[in-house]
Amino acid sequence: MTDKPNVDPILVSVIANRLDAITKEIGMTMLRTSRSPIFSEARDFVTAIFDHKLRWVAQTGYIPVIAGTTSFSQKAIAQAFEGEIYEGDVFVLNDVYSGNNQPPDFAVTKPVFWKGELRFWAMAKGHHADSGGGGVAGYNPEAKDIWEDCLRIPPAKLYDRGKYNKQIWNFILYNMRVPFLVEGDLHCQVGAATVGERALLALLDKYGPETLEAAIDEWLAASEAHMRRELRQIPNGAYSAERKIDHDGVDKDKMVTIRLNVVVEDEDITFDFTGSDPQVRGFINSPYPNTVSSSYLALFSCLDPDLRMNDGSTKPVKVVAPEGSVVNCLPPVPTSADTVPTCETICEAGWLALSQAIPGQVQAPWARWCAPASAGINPRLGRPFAEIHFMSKGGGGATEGFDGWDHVGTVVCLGGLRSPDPELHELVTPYRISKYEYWPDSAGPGRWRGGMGVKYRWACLADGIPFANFGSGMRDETAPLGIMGGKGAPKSVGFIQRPDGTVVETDANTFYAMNSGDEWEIWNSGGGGFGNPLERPPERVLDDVLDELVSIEAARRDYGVAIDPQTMTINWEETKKLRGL
Amino acid sequence: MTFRVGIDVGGTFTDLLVTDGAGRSSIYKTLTTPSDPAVGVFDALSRAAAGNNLSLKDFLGKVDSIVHGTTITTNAVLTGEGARTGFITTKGFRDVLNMRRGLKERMYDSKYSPPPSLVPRRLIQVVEERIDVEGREITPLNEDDVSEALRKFKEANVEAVAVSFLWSFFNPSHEERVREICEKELPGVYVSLSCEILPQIRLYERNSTTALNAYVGPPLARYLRSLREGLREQGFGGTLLIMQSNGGVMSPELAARFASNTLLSGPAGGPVAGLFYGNSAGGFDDIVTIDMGGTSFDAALIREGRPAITIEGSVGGYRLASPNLDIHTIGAGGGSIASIDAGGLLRVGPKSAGAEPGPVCYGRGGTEPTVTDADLLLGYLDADFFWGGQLRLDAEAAGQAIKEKIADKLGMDVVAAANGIYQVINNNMAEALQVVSVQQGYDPREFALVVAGGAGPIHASMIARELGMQLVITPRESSVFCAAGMLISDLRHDYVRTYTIDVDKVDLPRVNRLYAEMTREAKDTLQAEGIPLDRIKLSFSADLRYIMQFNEVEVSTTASGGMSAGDITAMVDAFNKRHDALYGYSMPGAPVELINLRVSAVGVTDKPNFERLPFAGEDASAALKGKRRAFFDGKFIDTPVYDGLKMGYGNHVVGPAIIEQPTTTIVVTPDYEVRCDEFGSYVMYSRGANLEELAARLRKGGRR
Repeated sequence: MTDKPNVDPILVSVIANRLDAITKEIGMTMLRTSRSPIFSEARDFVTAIFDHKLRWVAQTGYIPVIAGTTSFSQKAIAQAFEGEIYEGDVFVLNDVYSGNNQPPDFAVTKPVFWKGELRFWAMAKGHHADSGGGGVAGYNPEAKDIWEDCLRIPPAKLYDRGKYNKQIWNFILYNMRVPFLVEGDLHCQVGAATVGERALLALLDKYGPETLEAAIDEWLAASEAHMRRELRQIPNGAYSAERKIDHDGVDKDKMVTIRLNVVVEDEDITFDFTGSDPQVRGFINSPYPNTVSSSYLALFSCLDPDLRMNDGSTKPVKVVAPEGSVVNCLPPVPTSADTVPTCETICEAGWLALSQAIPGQVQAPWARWCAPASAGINPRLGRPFAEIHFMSKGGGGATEGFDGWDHVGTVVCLGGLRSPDPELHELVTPYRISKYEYWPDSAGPGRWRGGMGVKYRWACLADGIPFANFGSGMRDETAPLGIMGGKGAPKSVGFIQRPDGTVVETDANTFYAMNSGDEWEIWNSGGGGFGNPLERPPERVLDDVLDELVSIEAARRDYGVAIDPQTMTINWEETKKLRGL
Repeated sequence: MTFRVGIDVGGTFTDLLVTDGAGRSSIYKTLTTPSDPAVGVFDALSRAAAGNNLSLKDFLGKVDSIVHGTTITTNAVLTGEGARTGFITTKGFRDVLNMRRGLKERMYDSKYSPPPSLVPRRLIQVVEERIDVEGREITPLNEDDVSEALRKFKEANVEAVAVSFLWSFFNPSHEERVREICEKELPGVYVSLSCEILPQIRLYERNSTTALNAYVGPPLARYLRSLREGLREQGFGGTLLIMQSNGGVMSPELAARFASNTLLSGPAGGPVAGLFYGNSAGGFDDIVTIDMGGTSFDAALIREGRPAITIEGSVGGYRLASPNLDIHTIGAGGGSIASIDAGGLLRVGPKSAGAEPGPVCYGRGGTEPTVTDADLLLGYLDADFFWGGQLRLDAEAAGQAIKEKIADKLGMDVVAAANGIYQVINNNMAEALQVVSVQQGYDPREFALVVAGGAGPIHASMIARELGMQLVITPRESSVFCAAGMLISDLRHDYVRTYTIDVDKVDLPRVNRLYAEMTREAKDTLQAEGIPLDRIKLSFSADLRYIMQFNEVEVSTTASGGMSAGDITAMVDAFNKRHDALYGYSMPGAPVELINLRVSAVGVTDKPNFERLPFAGEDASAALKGKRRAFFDGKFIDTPVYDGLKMGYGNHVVGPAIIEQPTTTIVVTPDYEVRCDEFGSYVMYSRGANLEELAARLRKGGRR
């Protein structure tokens, strides 16, 4: 280095740590005060700080799939209001064709003025309980265009120079089925951004804007250097893979394919989606920000976990997605399921491609998500509710050295999705849960096996409740794969049982209605296995059998381990034979 | 002459503090004996006896009370050596305990495993039964299922059984029936019911807390039994009290039943001691305490004399949802390792060189530069007076390590790099302080800082400066801080009942009935522990939230336990205010719901007297040892060094200065001056400030 930086590296560390901590303080407010369980219990939100040049400086990705999208939303808002940004303003955006990633993910951002000058932005962005349109809790499997999908909120001011902008609040809330939840959560986001503003002002008072800006320059350069160092360790080459989505909800007999070519050239990496299917009629289309964020998810989860995500570290990462394809859709197709099946599919393709270059750093696919969102009135309380059935989360994929985590899905959250509490769930919704436990034999076998999937069943205690079932993984082609010799996990299944005994098999991306007495059961799969299952130590297989996670039959069939059902011990001789030793 | 004894069994040392009737106190330290901690305890007691020229028997005969902090339960969890535990839960919900809400904290790190199951799945048995959301039985308890589960447990030789059913806090009959059956079929086995351990909504949290209680109950009960026998044999006829995670103490009988209440008791003496020293140094009851040792740094906040409480604790990755002191711990200590990360920036901690091999300057094979190495190079530590001269420090080796591993990589000189390490670790600790203050809606500048731990006083004034805190108190006993806290702890028990209802529909008689129930339980318990009614103090609170929120805010409700309609209004006002302070907004007028009612009961114990020193005047020159070069504000300054043990009440020193005691060093930066108070504590305050005015402002009532 010839140019001497004008702030020392110590101060850079100190300031970077503080910025990081501020994004967590913003998040703490989101966690504690939101109404929709989707924020507070499931942590389906992210926080970020941008500087006045709109550089993405710091973030906390409570849910990784949204983490890489904040920069797009921030730039869109700042550009839309160029010349009209004032102290005390608070902005909102949900429109996917104006820089957002998914309709229910409302971005709320507040400009931070110090001594009259715009210096920073504090953003809180998260998944609302409703986003209008024809959907349930933000999901509409039958939407054929963006207007059926959601209410479009272009960049708009929730507060104008500190004044509550009644028109826009009313306009948004009049178009929501659960205005009470959406209103509370918008307040929560404004509060969270304000907590960020307070902390940033204290930082400006302490160091002044010039020092902060110089420190941020250094910080972003350091993050970029960190990423480049990581990329140098991936062998140069082109690695390709393709994965599918069950269907788009509209054309139910047509699977949707995402093709990916990952190209590594020294210190640069490109995710090229050329060859993916054209955009489709249903709600699984991915706007560019979602495709970028999903690519970051696939990449960052294979690298040094200390690598921070910001404008520096993402600089060497290029994402190519042809316009008009399912991974860079154009108006007016709907998009509200893009963060789930589409992100999962992108991530799987990314990992499968990277497994050709750095197999030891990659995980086997996790179980896809497939479960409903529902909303309505809980007659016991006379109060509206909206809920996503997060209790059916599936298992994580295995990686070299480690079994997958149980019930940790979906991969779009990388384990950050906290399952709701069954009692709080029953308190708010008109449901009674009767089953919520591991699904034996659901994990993909391997030297390291996948995490356990889940069986989840509930009874409906009210009439006429709409459910939007969304996701994928209910076809053999979309079930979790094993990698590096590991085996896959079964596809997920679901069914509704009516009081008269009829049973309806459920499919992904479809509406269902439930009445009092109906029961729905979901078997969400486990994760894929890593490495040859015949190499798994038989003692560990026996442990799983004793814990009733793996059956005696599966131990024999998948792992080549013979267990005597009388003594529940390993028959070593037979095991050797089964394993060809 | 009678004695009172505080014994804190820590990871490395067993600390013992004895006070006598005249208020004299003495400190004893022995090595902890992990295989049987009682050995270390009796070793320390023998030394204390010898220190008072008595035989152990004669000494213990004169001891009124022993307050004991034990890490038996914590170690059992961390080493996986708790009781073999069976867990019984509602059919269909077998895995809620081990699912841990399906959360993976370090999302981008694929190379680690969740904590091993506390109860393996084969020992989790389900029984048919169900209570609904309103406490009604919708499926009766299937007693055959219970017997079958117990048969399996018997086969597996379980030592403890935990029972947690859905909604049992509304209707405990099924859990209670399981205990009856258990007592018949598995006599002598330790039983924990969730309706007793944590009668509160949230299934996983209740399951986990109950399972932890069963897991650590038998080892704690065994330990306490043998300790009490040993003490009795040696002539002890006084009271034995056990430290809890909530900052209070309890009888050994209760400790054996509610064993999980000791799981986070290790640092719990700290805030209590902080309050004591803050109070004695000037009547402060708004205090932040910090404790910096070799590997970790604890911070806690006390407001209006009440330490902050949290129900979000965890130990070894297992959730513990009973009330604990809210002590925020980070990996920062004298042994924290400095390194350059892949982006080329300096990081300090959380990895630590520990005590072995320790910092490079210890000369015991450590090769990674640490905070202590930086402290030495900057002149804050004396190479020849570390631990009173027992360990000679190697400054040259420390300098070499910092040069190679840090300074050269950053293109800085060694001193600038050492100062960088010092600054980064101070900032990390300042962040931890923000977590307990700013993030909880409190301004740290309105609090006095009380400092403990061997490394704490070296860094405290820089941390205080970072946060604009103007008053820093370092007690002379800072190295046995927790043992001191134990001696002055009161008995304390927390009670909770879930009652979910919109606040405007609250049934006041039901609230008051629940409060009365908890009050009765509290009084019975404390009276059984020998506390007369006039020494029982109760406080009443409630957890509230805006309707449809998923997290609650605790606010105090009534002074008497009898709620009136007016109290409800006041409670909602208090909730709105607290919500705004915590989260940047409130919604006055929006509907609010009640979730839990809480009672916290304190049984006030007699406090030991601590000796007061005679006034010795301002002049500290008698304690001056000499000068050495130490680094302040960008340069080395010839800094006076004082012998702390020779400093008397009233002695006054202006920074920069260094005060040395055998086990700790107090660094006074140029921004501060320091005065010794009548208990021998060092009271450091912003340079040029009027101590009396500053104290008045920070003192109770001063700011309100």
